[in-house]
Amino acid sequence: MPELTRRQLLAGGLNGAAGARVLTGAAGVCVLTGAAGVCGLLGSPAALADTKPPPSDAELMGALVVVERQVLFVYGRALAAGVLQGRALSTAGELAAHERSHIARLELELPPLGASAPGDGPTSVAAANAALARHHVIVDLARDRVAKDWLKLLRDVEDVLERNYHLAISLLRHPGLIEVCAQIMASEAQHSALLATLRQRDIRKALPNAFVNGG
Amino acid sequence: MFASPEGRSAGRPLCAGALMSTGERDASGRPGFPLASRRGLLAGGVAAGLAAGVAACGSGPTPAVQKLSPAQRRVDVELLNRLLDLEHQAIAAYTAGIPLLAGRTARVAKQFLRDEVAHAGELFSLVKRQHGKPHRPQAAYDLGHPQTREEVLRLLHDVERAQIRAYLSAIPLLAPGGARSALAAILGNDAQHVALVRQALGAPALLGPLVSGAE
Repeated sequence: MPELTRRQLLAGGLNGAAGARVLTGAAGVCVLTGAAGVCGLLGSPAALADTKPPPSDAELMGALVVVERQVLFVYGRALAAGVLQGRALSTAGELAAHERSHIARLELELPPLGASAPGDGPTSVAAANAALARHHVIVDLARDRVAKDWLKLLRDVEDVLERNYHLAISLLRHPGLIEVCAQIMASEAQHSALLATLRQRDIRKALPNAFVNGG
Repeated sequence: MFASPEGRSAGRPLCAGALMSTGERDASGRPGFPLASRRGLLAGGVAAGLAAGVAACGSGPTPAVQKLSPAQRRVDVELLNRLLDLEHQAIAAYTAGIPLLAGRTARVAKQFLRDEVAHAGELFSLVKRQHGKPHRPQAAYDLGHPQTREEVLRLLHDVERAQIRAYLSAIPLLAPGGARSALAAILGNDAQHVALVRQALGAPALLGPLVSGAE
């Protein structure tokens, strides 16, 4: 499957497949968010205006865990590919460690919300490809890539994270959760800046936007 | 990100007076966002506004106009104007510092100045949307006496960190939706700035998986 450009992907909008809703049971709330993260919880942007109730904080936080795990899977593939070297390799390793920390931090917040962590992330390349497709990142992770293409893909999945955190921040209710997500979103923004400047030394091309929202 | 140190020294101070501690005071000389002030703002009706405004949500770069209670609107205008004060200060710092930089460092700083101007414009618009009166820049800012490349970069680093702290404090206090979303997008960009300024200083760009502005 040919990979689309970032611009083409973004042109597809944020409307991913809707995630499963929260199931409430005797043991509390189990977050079964779909693979399309916060954007998937909301459906299409047009759906924001309909009568659908906004997602709960537990749903939003669970959706972010799901997306983080998908992105971590991509980092794992990039690092295992063996083509990143030098500063690109050390940067990717550092960013992957951050993503693991983000997941741990988000999961800490779920029990107080009466929710449990979603299941594991993608367990196969095919599952990861499908999950990324729901974020409009159409890739085949099994394909061979050179270093700069891996860096581009990592930048694309960082954009996915930024979009999801950006949307979650606008919807969350609990101030503490908003602050945690803002701190993580700022971290993701730093990731994308470093990845961009590894590929492109011209700052105006690397970071053309004064507003970071994954767009 | 920035070029390697040019070791350039300049012979004039940016402004008379001692370097302001940007972590402790905002651009107007008032304390930044002390906890007591946040509580005061909250007492003014943020909690009610949060409860009332949950249904409002937006994800685009242009915030949707929301119907806020007068109390929430006052809180939002106060918060937005404090951030606007800091943006004015950042614009002053970049404007004064850029002539003391050279080469790629100067080009990057000019890009960041453009970003700060865009942030100030966005905050100006947000205040106006809430029927508030946007703060104007001060006639002068006390930026200390940086004379070398490193001193300028340290000033810019301090200014960017102060902004990050302020945005992280303000975002959870704003009503859900457009304004919060816009501030998160600005926060992300300032987080990128601080990472690349730190890198230019020869320090690690990333200091951890959560960005707090305290680094």
